[in-house]
Amino acid sequence: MKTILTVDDSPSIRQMLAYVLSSNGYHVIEAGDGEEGLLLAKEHQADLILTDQNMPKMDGIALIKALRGLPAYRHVPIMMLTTESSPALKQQGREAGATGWMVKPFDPEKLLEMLKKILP
Amino acid sequence: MNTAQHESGSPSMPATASRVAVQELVERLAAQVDSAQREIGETRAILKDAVERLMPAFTALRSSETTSAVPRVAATELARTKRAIRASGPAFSALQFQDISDQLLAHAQVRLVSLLAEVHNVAVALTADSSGQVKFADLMQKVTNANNNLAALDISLVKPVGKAHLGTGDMEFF
Repeated sequence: MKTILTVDDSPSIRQMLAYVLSSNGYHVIEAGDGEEGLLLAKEHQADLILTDQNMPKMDGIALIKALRGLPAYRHVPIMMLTTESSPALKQQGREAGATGWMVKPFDPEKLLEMLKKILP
Repeated sequence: MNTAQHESGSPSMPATASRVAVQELVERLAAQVDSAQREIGETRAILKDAVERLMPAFTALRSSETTSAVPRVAATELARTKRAIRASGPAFSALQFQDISDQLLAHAQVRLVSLLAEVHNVAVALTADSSGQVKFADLMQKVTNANNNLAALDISLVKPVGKAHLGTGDMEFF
């Protein structure tokens, strides 16, 4: 079973993601901000990470930079899942090492299709 | 020294009537900002309550899918899950908009609380001292501080939401 780490400061978004992902056979770990996400990523090897951008303590791009510095996460797919869609911020995400960018509100079907492409 | 100055040598508010009028305006502004802040707080609480009532429905749906007594073949189960996800798509979108709205409201509250604090500081500076005078220099210092603090607020607040329309979002791979 593939493990997905979701990082979002909104409990309702995390619950929705957990529902969609776990009912499709993924094991889900949840973090409420970038710092907690980094901590959990070190404790549990995730196969993919879905992270929000605007969060307290550590934002999504900072989290990606920190994760890409860890050998265990150098090649793990990390998708941004955020309301932000500005080209400048996307460029920052790309430079930080994000695999892709998905704008909220997410469509559960599109999210699952995307996961199938990344996690066959 | 004219009537616009007092014993300290710094200019003062020119007339008591003007000062009282400005003070009254500041107090009314403070009251309105405070009310708006509380109303936003109540709106957030109502939205949060609504979502908390909705989320168990998703949990229940999830449980009913995983605890069915009737064994199903994997393909049928997958198709059923797909249908459930598809059917609940609009509900997912609506719940996400609640979350997005809540983030915007939270920032509006932070702005109003800061505004209220600055208005209060200016109101204090408008209060006459024991000699019945308001020191203009003190007042202007408070105004300068308020300007600086409110300018800094824009910089310190992380933009909560970058979404301007209600459609579901796009996706791209880098």
